[in-house]
Amino acid sequence: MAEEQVAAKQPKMKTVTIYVMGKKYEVPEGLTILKALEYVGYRLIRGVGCRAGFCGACTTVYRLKDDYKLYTGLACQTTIKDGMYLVMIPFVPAKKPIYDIEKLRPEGSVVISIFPELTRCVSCNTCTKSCPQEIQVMDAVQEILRGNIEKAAHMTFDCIACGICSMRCPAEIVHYHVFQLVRRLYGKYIAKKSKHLEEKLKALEAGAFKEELDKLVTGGPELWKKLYESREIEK
Amino acid sequence: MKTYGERYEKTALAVAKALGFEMVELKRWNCCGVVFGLAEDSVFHHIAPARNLIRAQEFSREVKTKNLVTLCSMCYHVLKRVNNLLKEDPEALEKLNKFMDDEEDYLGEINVLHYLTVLRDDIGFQKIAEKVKKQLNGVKVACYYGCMLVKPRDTGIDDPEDPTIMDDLVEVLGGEPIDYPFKTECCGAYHVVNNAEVIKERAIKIIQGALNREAKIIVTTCPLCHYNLEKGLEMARKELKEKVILLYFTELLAFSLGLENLIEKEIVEELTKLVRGDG
Repeated sequence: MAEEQVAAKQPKMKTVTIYVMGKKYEVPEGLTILKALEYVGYRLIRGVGCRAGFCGACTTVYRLKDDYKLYTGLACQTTIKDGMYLVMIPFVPAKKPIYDIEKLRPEGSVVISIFPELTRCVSCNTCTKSCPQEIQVMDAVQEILRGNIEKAAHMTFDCIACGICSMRCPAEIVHYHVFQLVRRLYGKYIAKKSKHLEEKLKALEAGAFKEELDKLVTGGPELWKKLYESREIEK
Repeated sequence: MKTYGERYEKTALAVAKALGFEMVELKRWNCCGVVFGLAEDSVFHHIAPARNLIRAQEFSREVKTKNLVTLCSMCYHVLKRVNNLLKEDPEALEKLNKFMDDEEDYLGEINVLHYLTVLRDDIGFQKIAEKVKKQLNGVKVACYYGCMLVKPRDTGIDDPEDPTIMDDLVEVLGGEPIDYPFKTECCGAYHVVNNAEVIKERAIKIIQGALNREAKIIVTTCPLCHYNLEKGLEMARKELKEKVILLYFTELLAFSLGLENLIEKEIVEELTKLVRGDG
């Protein structure tokens, strides 16, 4: 069979044009940004993690054809569009203060003393608009400003620390570190202590389950595989 | 209002209920920005208050009222001023609406009110008089208005130089409002953060002014004024000879209306002594 005939028989793949850091590529439509990048030959060793929208590593900035807006998203969760102009951000630089959680109190003023830039919030809501997790980011910042640590912790539970909000914020707030502190304060000082966990830990320390645990430690890969495959969750 | 000013909010809500009107907190709100941006060519600093007006507009459909009531003088000042601007300047309104493409457009129909004006205009001081359970028996009260509640003239709730709205209320409760020269003097506002000496000097002037006219109580409408006067009292303890009780006006109202359980025990004790005449 002649080569042209083979080509004619294959269904024609629909492609779209994307620009990666200004360079033009034709890629099959329907791919995620991450897969499109790999399709054109990028080998991603930084700025990519779980590939499932949970780890927050593949922060991406893009624009669309004839649209003034600057969009943001996770490369593993965003489908490419024709004319997309994009760049992946492998790392979001942010100040990460060191604090001793044992010495803090669960109060708004404590969070503000560690992250004073919080008070620069002008309520522009750019953070909320940029969040791929659909968190009400600005509202959470406002809750912290009025001292409601518990509410802020609940509101930001889904934060995956991709850092997009912090890159877009005109007040230069580092939301994801702030929210982590807030959730730590909530967990340590506000949330109800789970009694059953304490009891289980005590039982563990006293030697309950010793036999099963020893079996696991010494079992080796074959046993682990078998146990993994027969987990209850898989049934 | 949620931390330092908790006393204010708690008593204001309870007093409202006792007088037969209900106040509901906005479901979503943000800091008003505290200062009204004076740059005429920039609307960026109006985003925060405008967003609150939009949230109030959304909420107004649920609670069936377009009246947005504030307790804090500064919130009142900023929200009212921005609301006026957006009602009068279609260009500014359009610019803000376009910028906030994540919200519905603001239509300019919210009324920004201060709690005091609700008491005066909607409830009526006379009706409050009928509900008073504990007369103040002529106890001398200095009403401190500060700046933001009454200035500038087109947003203020009363005469900017000689306001009397709180004095009239005190009279209704059976107290004797005293006239003193510093009732609209600035408390020093945010100088408290980096220059506390300014606050001390201001507070002494205001408090001493009230004490010179034998005031036993000073009432305020603003958490920041209250904070600064309290700080000033602490710093100037040695310089001031007489004692004075510093209250939000809603606390005095709550006391008069028989809602003592909402006020700190020591304050109730001192007020009771004053009313009895052995303070």
